[in-house]
Amino acid sequence: MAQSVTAGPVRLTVFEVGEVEFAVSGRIPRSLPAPSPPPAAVRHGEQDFPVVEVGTALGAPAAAAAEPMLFLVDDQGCRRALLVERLIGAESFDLAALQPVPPVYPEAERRRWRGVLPRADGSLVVLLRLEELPVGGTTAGEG
Amino acid sequence: MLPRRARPLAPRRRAYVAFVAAGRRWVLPAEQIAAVGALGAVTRLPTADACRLGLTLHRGRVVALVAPAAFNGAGPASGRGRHLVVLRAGGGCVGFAAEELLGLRVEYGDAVPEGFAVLEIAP
Repeated sequence: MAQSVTAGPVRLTVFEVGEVEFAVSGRIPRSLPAPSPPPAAVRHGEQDFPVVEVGTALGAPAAAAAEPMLFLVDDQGCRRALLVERLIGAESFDLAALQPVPPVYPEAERRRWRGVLPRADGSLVVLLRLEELPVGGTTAGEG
Repeated sequence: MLPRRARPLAPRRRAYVAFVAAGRRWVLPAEQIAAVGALGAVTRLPTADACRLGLTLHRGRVVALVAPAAFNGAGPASGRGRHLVVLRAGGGCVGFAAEELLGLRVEYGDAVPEGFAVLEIAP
């Protein structure tokens, strides 16, 4: 599914996995403490949101998160439930400042990232391609 | 007309940037270096290759921080340092961490500054 990036300020949802701050675009209908073990999907209304353990999907080092969170994302019809170590919240970014991940990283890895957003304090946020995060498993009801 | 006596060519001057990295003294030809500066925060992007240390920001540009193969023998010392050396690379900004910057060294011909090794950067 094509995901275009338009320039200008947008609100992104920022979260942390493996001491790295990532962001995704899209609507967040719900967030909740991650159940253990996590279900394969979360049902919200009439729709299923496949669960993605982001740390596992990206190959990030495993960390014992105090309160892992699960939040639902709907980005132009691409729906996922992301399991993350810490949900930081919504933040405005100017997508005109988006820079590509340098090609020293292989294409198979760069495909997951739309790019990198610098903050004024010099920190970086990595904008993910939601559709490139692998999903799998069985569906669980929302309850 | 008498031929002019050929004058011996002066040996070519070459400038090197000298630094300490991974516990050793190195030089790089100055023309290979795009910039040097303070190393800021490093974002450790998950990756399969341990030589890719992460991303950092330098003068507004995202730079990939790498550990050159020559550093491999230095173990955990690779990737530490207060300084960032950014290389002229065809495919985006690549740099590495240096513990100390030792300034410019000028040599003639193929001579390498004494006490230093030339850092080989894989293309």
